Amino acid sequence: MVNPLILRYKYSLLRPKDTVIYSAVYLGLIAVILFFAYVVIWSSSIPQDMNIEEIHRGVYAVLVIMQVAIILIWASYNSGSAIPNEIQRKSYDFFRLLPLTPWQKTTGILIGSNVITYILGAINFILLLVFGSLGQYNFEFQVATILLLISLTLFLNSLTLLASINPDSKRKSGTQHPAKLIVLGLFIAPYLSFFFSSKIVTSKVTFFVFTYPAGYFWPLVIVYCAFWVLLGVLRRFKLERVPLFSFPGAVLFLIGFEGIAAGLFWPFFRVENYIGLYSYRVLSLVALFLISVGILNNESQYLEKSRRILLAQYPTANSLGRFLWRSNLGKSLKSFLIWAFFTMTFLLFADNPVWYNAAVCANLFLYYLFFISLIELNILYRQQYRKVKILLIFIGLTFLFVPLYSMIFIKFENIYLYSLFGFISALFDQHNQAIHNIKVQGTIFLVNSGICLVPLYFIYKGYNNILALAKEVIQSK
Amino acid sequence: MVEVQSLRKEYDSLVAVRDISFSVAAGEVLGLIGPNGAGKTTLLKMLATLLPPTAGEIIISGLNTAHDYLALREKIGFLPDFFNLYDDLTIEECLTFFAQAYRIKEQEIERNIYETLNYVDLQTKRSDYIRNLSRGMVQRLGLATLLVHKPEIFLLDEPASGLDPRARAELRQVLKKLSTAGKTIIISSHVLADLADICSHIIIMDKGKLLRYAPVEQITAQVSDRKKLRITVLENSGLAKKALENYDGVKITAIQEKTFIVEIENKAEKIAGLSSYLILSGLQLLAFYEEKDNLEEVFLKITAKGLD
Repeated sequence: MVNPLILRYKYSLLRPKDTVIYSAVYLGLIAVILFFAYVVIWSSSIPQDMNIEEIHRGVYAVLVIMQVAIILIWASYNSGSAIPNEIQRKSYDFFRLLPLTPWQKTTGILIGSNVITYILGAINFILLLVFGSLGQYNFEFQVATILLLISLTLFLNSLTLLASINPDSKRKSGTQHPAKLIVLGLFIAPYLSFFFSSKIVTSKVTFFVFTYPAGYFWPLVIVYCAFWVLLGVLRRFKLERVPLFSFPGAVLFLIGFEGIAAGLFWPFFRVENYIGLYSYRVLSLVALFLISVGILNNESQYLEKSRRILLAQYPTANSLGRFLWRSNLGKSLKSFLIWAFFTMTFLLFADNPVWYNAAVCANLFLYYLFFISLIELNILYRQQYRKVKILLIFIGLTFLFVPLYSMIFIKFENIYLYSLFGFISALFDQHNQAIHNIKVQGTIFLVNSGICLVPLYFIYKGYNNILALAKEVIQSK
Repeated sequence: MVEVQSLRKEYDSLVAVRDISFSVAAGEVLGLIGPNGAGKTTLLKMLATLLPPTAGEIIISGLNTAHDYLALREKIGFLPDFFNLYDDLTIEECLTFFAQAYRIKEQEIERNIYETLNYVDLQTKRSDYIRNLSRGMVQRLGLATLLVHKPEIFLLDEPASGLDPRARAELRQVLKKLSTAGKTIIISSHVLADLADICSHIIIMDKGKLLRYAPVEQITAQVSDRKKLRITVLENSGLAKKALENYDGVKITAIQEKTFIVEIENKAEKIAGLSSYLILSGLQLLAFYEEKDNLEEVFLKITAKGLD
């Protein structure tokens, strides 16, 4: 049987009169493009060295822009609007209760909501091939362009869908949702320049010691990313009340990311490419932070976890220990250890002493711990103190920026190193004496350890409160 | 069929459902009565697996809503209080979609839809767009989307809300058919007259608490220390009025020509004595029977007394 969700969208989107309108608009646009290309431009006074292939290429470029508009922007918007529209229309409860498999819901939305866009996109691809051939673009270039467009479509459509799924959302309106932010970002569109450049085919990508045509390599990387996004969508539809990543999934994602990033940055693993090496580690730190947010439990998930721990009848001390191991902090720590392993391994290429690499990891850990702790405090205390998020954001920004701005007023030349931004920027400077000084590193470590103790204390209290509440609930039965 | 144990739901500092326990056997119709904010919708949404409980357990047909919610959703039919269906579909397309989603066999879908539309009296509208239907028809269509997959249990949240009296009457007919057919239903409503007709059991809720849970008759009997009687005389209504006013413990609450609604102490000898007294007074009685307390009065009495 065909996916019922696709059929439902087909009923509503492919009414004969709607189909006529979309077809008319699309054909009208094509007609306008061809008119301008072949009638207006060609018939006007044209420089002698312009030939017909250049006109064809011009049409090709416009069709590429149209394709971006149709299957990247419009289709991403449709995918990201499907769930908010269900919520706004007040049919979301029906949608959630449907016994469709997660795969059916995912493909139903991705394909069903884009029935029109994908049909127009398919026609546009045919026209691209026609005008690409007329414009004498080589076949490899055309295939690379198409692969890039398709892989980006898969990735962005899935991403907007993932961003829009939030089963417990209290949003009443479908007009404000993260998908729109992602789609807006597409308008920045440096991607467009890609398509006009023949560098897609001529350039090569070095991945570890191998070299691949960029036109085939990048679509594969994008499809790999899309795979993870789709896994996230399936997980959201299958298990509504769990974090985006399971911990094993987060570890696999991180290892995969490290592998791909290592392959891409492999040429930089030489001392003279210090900047490249540290760029790689900072990039993976960003990935680590994103995963750490993706594995967070919320308060009701914590209650359920603690209830299960207590029902397993561990003594109180063991309960807290087990809870800590499974807590957001515990999972974040484990994730960081994986990142640190890769960092210690790859920073050997920077030819720094081992103590330096260890000190860098330790200090980055404290910065990471501080920000994760702020997020954890929000989870633990937002029920009691509704505005706690504002306070925590303020504290985070203060921690980030005050050491930097203090440089203007305080005559302490290393103060900028106490800001995460300052510390990271110093890493890129091979000749920075301060950051290569063990005393400086040690002082930063001590100061940040002291700062981290404050949120950790409140987190400890919060965990104990959760365990106590879970115990109360069990005992009240 | 449904077992609810110590169910609790908290939002921030609000306790929406407070340690509620009850059970519903197969074929029973349970009514939920309560003022706005009593926790009825929250309770129904937890039963429908749309909201996780803060504490407690719900077992439906042997499956736990906390862990087996995906499997349970095939067995449940939930009609929210405020809902819309797909305006850009026709009734037939909408029901076809639901039938396919619930894995009804292709060859049975057409017959299924035909029977369902007859059941909810929307057969003549099957090709109409949903956006062109009245509110009452949309409610019945909502019920139809549940009926099409024949769930084991129906959860209906204020199905009659926002409907005019005629539409409510039509919906009530459908609900009566469901209850007569032995379906297990949990239904909440403000329009208590709707529940009185179809429910076998009632839960009265207020501020998240379960105030009363019992069969309908038991609730009305427990609450009333006085009974209402409807007395119709053949003639001499003036004499009848005088006689009733003179009888100790009787209070006339309404008069309609020759019919009197009176309140009397809930004692058998008092009631029997009244009928003898009227006859001995020379009156001919056409009707003398108990007027059942309606649920609205029961609800108001219970919540006023704060019984729990």
